[in-house]
Amino acid sequence: MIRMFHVVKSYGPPGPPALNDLTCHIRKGEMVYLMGPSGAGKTTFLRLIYAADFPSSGQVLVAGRNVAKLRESSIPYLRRNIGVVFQDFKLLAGRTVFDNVALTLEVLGKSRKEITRRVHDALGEVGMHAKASAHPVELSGGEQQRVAIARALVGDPTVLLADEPTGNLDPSMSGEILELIRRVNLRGATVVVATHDPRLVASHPRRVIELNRGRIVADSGGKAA
Amino acid sequence: MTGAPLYFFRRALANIAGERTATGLTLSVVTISFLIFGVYVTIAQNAAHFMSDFAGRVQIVFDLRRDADALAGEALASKLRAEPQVAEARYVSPADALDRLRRDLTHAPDLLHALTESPLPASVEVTLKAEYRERPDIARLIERYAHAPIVDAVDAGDEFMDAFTRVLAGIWVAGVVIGAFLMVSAVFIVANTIRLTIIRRRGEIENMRLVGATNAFVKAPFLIEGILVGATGALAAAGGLYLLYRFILVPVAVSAPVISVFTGFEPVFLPWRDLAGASGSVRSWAGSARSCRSAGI
Ligand SMILES: Nc1ncnc2c1ncn2[C@@H]1O[C@H](COP(=O)(O)OP(=O)(O)O)[C@@H](O)[C@H]1O
Ligand SMILES: [Mg+2]
Repeated sequence: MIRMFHVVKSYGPPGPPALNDLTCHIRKGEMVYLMGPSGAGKTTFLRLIYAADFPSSGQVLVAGRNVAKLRESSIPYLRRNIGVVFQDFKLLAGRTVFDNVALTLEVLGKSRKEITRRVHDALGEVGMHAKASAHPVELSGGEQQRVAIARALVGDPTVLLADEPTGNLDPSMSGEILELIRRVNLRGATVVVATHDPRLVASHPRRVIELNRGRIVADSGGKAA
Repeated sequence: MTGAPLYFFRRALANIAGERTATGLTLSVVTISFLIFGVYVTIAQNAAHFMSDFAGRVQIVFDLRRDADALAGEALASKLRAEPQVAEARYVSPADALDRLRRDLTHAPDLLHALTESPLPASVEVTLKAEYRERPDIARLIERYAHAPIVDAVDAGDEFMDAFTRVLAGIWVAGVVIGAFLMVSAVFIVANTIRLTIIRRRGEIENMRLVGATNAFVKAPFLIEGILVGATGALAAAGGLYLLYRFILVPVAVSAPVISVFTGFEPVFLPWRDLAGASGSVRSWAGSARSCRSAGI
């Protein structure tokens, strides 16, 4: 589902590259942890997958499409298959919970009726149905992350990317969020969770790709790509 | 483009409703710049109108000798009428001249009451065609007729015309410069106001892009918002301009001595079609498009 071939990503000559000759293969339906200390290149890895950045050299393939060669106008269509969840939630303060989740479907041009039905389903799945008309400021961090997950899954993505999704949450909250992400994976989505928290991995062991200084230093489940 | 136009319209209205202070600020800036521009256009319009009105009234007056009779006067008038530069030439008898003076001095009718015979000379008044109102044309005509036997004196009003033309030329140059400056600053202000709006909404734009919004989808609500705010601002400015015109320009113009000399000069209110219509929305639309581009969306 996601393949990288000799990917180098450099943000400019002074520093070392953020990703350095990286090759890996994440299969369809897999759930993978991307581990490593701060600055290892985890965020960069994820950004290359949803075309927020492009490799300096090498290839990134997502669902068979070469992201590095994607035309600017095709990027939106790639992203419609990818849900992204961030450490800081990135919800719109001016919109209600319902409207934040609805954005994913509005972009697809769905009818009001379909949007209403699917948003309520998604909010039900993450247990936020009762707070549909609340604004993000009225929610706890864990609740905000649930809404962000609802926004990511409401479009039925084939890939879910989570960048330190529990980084701002206390441990009990983290467990609940991870459980929701695991459920998205069980529904068939390929999931990549970037984290530097070993406890998270321990609570729900899966394949771990370990990055350090832009290189893969360990991979618990990768065959040669 | 994905999504129904109605959706974009709803989003634009929601954006406006959600940021009333910012929208109000944008609207005031748009209104004020359009109003300033409109005041300029109105003044320029009226200066042009006044000038053509004035130029049309400039006459060459040939005062006739006392011994010239009406027949000789009419003959001179018809000879002048045959000149290619002349629009109209009219013989004015001493009695006609006195009548006219009486009419002009209605405030003091007693002053002229005692007169039985006109103290004024007969004359031939000549109006030139619009394309022959330049100084050399006037001079040429005067040269041809000033020495005719019945002509006593010539009043060409040309010295005044010269000064007047020079002043007007100056006003026009200043007007073009000021007008261009106002145009540019209005576009600049509107474009920047919209750019600020986009910067304020950066989070929203990022979210839209993240979930796969196309460029057109991201831009459409901003463009609609720009058109709505721009059109409202233009309309408000046009309303304000009309009030200024109606309650300031008209009374001032009517009571100003230099203007009231020419009875029948009416200030015009023309910029409707320039201001309220296409230009308002088109300009703010262009502004939003440009700001979108420079904000990188
Ligand atoms: N936009 C950027 N400009 C310059 N350097 C960057 C940028 N983003 C990340 N980096 C650098 O790339 C390296 C990897 O960063 P990142 O992918 O954010 O790591 P992680 O998410 O694992 O903490 C770091 O050294 C970081 O300083
Ligand atoms: Mg990171």
